Amino acid sequence: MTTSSSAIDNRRVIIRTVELRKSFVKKGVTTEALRGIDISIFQGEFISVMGPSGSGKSTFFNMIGGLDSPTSGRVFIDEVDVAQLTAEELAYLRCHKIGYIFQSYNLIKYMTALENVTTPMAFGGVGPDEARERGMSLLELVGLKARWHHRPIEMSGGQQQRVAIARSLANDPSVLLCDEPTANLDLSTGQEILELLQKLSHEKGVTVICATHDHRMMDICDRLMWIRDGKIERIANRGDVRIEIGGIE
Amino acid sequence: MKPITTAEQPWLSFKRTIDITIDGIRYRLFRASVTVAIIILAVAFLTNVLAEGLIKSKINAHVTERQTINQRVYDWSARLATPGDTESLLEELAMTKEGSRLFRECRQLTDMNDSELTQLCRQSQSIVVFLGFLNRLDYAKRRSLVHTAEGLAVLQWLRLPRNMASFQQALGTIHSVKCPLSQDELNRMLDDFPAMEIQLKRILDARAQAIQTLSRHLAGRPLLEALCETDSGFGSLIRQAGFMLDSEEAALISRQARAIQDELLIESLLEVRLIRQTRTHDGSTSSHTTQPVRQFLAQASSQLPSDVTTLDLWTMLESPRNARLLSERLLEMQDSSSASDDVHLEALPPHFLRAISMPPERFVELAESRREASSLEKAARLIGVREDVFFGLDERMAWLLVISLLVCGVGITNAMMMSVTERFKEIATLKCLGALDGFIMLMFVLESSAMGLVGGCLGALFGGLIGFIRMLFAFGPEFFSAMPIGNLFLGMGASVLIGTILAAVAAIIPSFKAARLAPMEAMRVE
Repeated sequence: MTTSSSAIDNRRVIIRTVELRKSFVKKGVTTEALRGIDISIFQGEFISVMGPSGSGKSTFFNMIGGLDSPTSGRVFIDEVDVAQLTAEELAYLRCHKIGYIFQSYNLIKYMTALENVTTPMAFGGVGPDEARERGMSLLELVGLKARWHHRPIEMSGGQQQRVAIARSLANDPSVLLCDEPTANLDLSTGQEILELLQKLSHEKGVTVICATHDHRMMDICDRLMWIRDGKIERIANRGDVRIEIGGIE
Repeated sequence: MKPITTAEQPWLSFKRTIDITIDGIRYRLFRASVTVAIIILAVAFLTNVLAEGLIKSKINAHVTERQTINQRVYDWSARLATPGDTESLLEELAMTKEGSRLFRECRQLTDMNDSELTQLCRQSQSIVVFLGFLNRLDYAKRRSLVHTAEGLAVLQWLRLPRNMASFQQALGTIHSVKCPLSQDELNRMLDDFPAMEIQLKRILDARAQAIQTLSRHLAGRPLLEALCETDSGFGSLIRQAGFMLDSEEAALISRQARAIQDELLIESLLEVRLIRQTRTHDGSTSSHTTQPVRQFLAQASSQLPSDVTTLDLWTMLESPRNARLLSERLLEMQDSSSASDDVHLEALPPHFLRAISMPPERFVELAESRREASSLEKAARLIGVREDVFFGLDERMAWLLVISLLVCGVGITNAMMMSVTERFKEIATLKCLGALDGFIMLMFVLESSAMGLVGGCLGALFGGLIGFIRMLFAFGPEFFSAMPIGNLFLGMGASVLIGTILAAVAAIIPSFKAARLAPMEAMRVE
């Protein structure tokens, strides 16, 4: 993590990991998924996490999303040690601080687009009228205001992912965690989603952390991070990468 | 380091929880309907059994009460004929409360005071409970407890210390048997018994005395005939002899006695013979005998006259038209016999003529009360011997019910478990969005309870309907006169409640599993 520029260093650190390790024990065999990851992610940054499958990418995501606890090491989200939180506080954290975007959208099938968007608000204690209003403006932001009453099954993959993005923004989170958001979409729709994410990152100052295989991501993200065998292989700024990729190819 | 500033997550409002749950059920209507079907079946069975049990016990109580009233005259004729034995007196006393008829009668017949009598009743109760307990045992157990002693001889047998020791030992080894009396109570009962026996004998003697006084007054008159006048002269004789008889009871008894007498008279009509004597020209006479009532009935029911029974007679008399026809026919016969010396009527009870002069309405009335009595009897036979364990159910039925509910509960648990497995991703997503474990749990318990409520209501409706129809056909008129609709609804309500609670309880394990699910399951891609 030496590659970050001094300009970025001055910004607020939103996620920080210290010596993050995670190992799974199954039938007596210990698998080390993460073997010491130290990284600081800054507010408003758009960062891509790349790595082959089995590299520990997903485990890393679960750790920084407050979904799983590390075997050793620490995760700070907004300077709060995740390991010290109770179940209720964790729920609060997931509800208010982090927005999740999944590869398979994970919309609740029996809810309309608007209900999907307002559910996290309800969990966060927002009143129904205010939730509706905010939900509609979020749907407008992703360009689906007219389809607020449609259920997921009545929408295309791209539209579903956009509803999912609106949902992830429901409680104004500081961090958006995207798990291969474009993997299930065709090229042009994927492009739209990426542009949307970029727009959000710039306009709302949301930190976007994206696990991806999509090389177009390199064009829009601020930093790139490669994980291999549970370790950070490389971290690079966007400008540096373009040259190197060219060099490799 | 910054202190933890994250506030605790608030609970989702109950209304919103219900909304989400109901939406979820609507979306998975097919699966839900299968689960509901299981609940409907179980609850229908439950309601049916419960409702039928309750209806039966209500009808049973009604029938028993009516039969007791109908048989009051038999009770009294027995009471006025024999003093009874010690055991039957014990049973009577065991059911007697202070101030009841029997209580006052005993006080009047003997000169025992209230406290003596109250104590006697209490002692009788424990003896009856003890003997009842022995009578319910099977032969082997009974034999090992009290050898071959029967009835009150058991108490004599137990008074020997050696026998008491063997009784105690046997009681200790047979674990399935529990004596209703403690050792102290048993000892006290045995100690008190000789004194009690003397008191019982006093009551029996006084009764015998009263019966003797009464039979002197009767002077050979049949008791039934005398009982017809209970509401007038004979009633006061009964009272004078020392028995307790209020005027309401007296009226009932004389009415019932008269009905029995009239019934006997009407039945004797079957045997009435009409003898017609004809003189031939040479001066000798020949007689021609017919049985006019039998013939009349044979025609009406197309049978041979000799096959006609009293049952046919009463069945026919239920119709007012037939009763009038018979009455006309009888009067006609009487007229013809009084008009001519050659014709006369004959039957075994010499006063059968009184039956002829009865109005046809009386025939119908008696026939109807007989039909009612026989329908009561039929109902009592249908109900049979009942041993209530729970809600008017016998032991086997209660077991069957518990097992069926268990099976249903396991079915619901299974269905909910599958529902949880199917919705792993949804649950995990909700947890990612900030749902608390409690909310997830509540969601599943609510979902199951909602299905339990719907299934319960439908099941109760089906089961109740089936029970209603079945009982209606089984008991007919008794069903209506007992009016067990309240019990039917009670059974249905109880079943809905049990169904809902069962569904909620059955969902606890699956919902626990759902609540414990790690939110990172949401990341998994199929």
